[in-house]
Amino acid sequence: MTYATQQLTQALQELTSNAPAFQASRIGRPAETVDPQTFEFSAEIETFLESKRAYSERTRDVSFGSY
Amino acid sequence: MDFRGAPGIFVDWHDTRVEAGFSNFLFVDQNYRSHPVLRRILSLARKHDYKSLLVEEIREGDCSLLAEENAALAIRCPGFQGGTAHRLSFWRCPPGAPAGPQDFIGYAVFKMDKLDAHAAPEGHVYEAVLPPVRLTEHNNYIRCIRGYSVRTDAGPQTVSGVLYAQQNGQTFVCAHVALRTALACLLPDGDVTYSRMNALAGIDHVTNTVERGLEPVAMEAILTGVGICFEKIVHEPKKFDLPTEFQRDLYGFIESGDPALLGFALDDPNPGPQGGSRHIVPIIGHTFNDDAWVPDAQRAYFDNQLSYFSSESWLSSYVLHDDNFGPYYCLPRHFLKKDNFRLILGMRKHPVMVSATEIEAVALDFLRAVAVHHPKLGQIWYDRFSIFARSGLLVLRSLLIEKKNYLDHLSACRTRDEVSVEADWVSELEKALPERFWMIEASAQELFTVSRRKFGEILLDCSKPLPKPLDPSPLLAMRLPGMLWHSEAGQLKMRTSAQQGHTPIYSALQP
Repeated sequence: MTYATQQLTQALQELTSNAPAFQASRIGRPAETVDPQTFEFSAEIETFLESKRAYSERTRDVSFGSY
Repeated sequence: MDFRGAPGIFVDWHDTRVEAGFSNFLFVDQNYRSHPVLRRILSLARKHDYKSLLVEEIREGDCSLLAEENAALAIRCPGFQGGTAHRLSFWRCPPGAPAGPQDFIGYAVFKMDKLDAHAAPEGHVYEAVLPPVRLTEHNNYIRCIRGYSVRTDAGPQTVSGVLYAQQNGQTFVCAHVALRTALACLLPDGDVTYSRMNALAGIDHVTNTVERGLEPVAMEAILTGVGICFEKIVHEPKKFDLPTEFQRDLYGFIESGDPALLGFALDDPNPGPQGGSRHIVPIIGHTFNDDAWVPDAQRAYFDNQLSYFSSESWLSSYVLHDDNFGPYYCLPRHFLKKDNFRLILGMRKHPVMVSATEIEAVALDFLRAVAVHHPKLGQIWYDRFSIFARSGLLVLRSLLIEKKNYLDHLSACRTRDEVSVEADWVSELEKALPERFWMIEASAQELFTVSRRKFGEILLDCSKPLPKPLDPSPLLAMRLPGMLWHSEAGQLKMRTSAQQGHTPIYSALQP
């Protein structure tokens, strides 16, 4: 079993043993405004997006070979 | 007048039942110079349980498209003697019997060209439309299917399928026929002529010919000329080395229902000064294997650092037409290596500013952030979502979707205990959502692969480039068990929902 799977298994077991109490009072409450700071984007994703953008830009006008 | 609408001159109507002694091999050997693609097409008709085959001759005077093709060949080949065409149609009823609504299977047009007085005629399948043999219930997902009307000696008929065509090597080559298949899926008329493509590419058959094939820049000119948007992925080893895996990009087009062209270099021991030979094929769908070992094994055994599973991991084969071999072949996912891969032209009906691979990465960050900030809602399916998200084990599937299709999907979505999403939230989305956007579905392994269900989805803008640095502005809406988000006047709003279970994944209806 991998580390990630072990973590998953353990978390799912904890969830099952502490059967969540359904919070009926939450239903029907008005919508809340979300703080944009909720979202922190990982540097890994920014790097990936930048590399995709840069490669796409570099190859936009190239044309190699014939089909 | 094209080959589908032209009147035909009756030639013969064959009883093709095996018990009647009919042989596909013998028929093709005797009548069509043992043509291998025609044999493939007849074998597909056999899989569709065909019982008869109607042969009609199409004449130039009845079919302006045939006259146009012959005129182009006369320019390209000065010794051209003429070309003839047969329309072959495949039926589930016996020869001459009145056809029921399900009896017409499909058709193929076979063209024979005599390129000079001394050579034997050259044959090719000018076009063919048959339905795919395997459909969704066989885990085959071919999303480019459309309907065609066909005039036959036995009355007008209709067929649904993906148009196949083969190059003649003189006035149109593999790039033309691959483009024709792809454009047939997208253009309102369901087809495009080679003369139009050649005009857009500057091919006149005198000063500019297709002897060496079509260059990508010419293919791009054709796509632009017919008004189809496209994204280009290039891999030219040592010059432009694609930093990512091309299969993920390819899947990003076809999963949204759009075709893509896949170009590759052939193994060529003696490449000329212009480089080795290349070939290009249209990708029109994929197969799915819910028992695939690769997704788990890739992470556990081969040190893959992914923090989610893309639904592409369960793709088994791409479905394609190869003009050299025939329609509806399967290309196993990892058969074509990056060493040979050269080009993807992925088509879109509408412009899209963010690719499927990029938007999936962004969606992952949004979903992880929600799970981190709201680790528990106190209801089991949200809490499971949160655990899978924080463990890096979500399954994500990205689709470019029209607003109407999404709202229909949303309205039909029910949990196992038949709870639907709140109607007022659907109304809010109806007012707020743009005409199309990215939908990234979030699920877990067995939930996605076997039950074909999901925790929910996140909707992200496709019309603008992603902000640098990334911020929440691309987020349009999000639905998770017990939780709904949407963007309103630049602010994100979150509310709870009575819909607290998993719901079915999106399924595009096949005609």
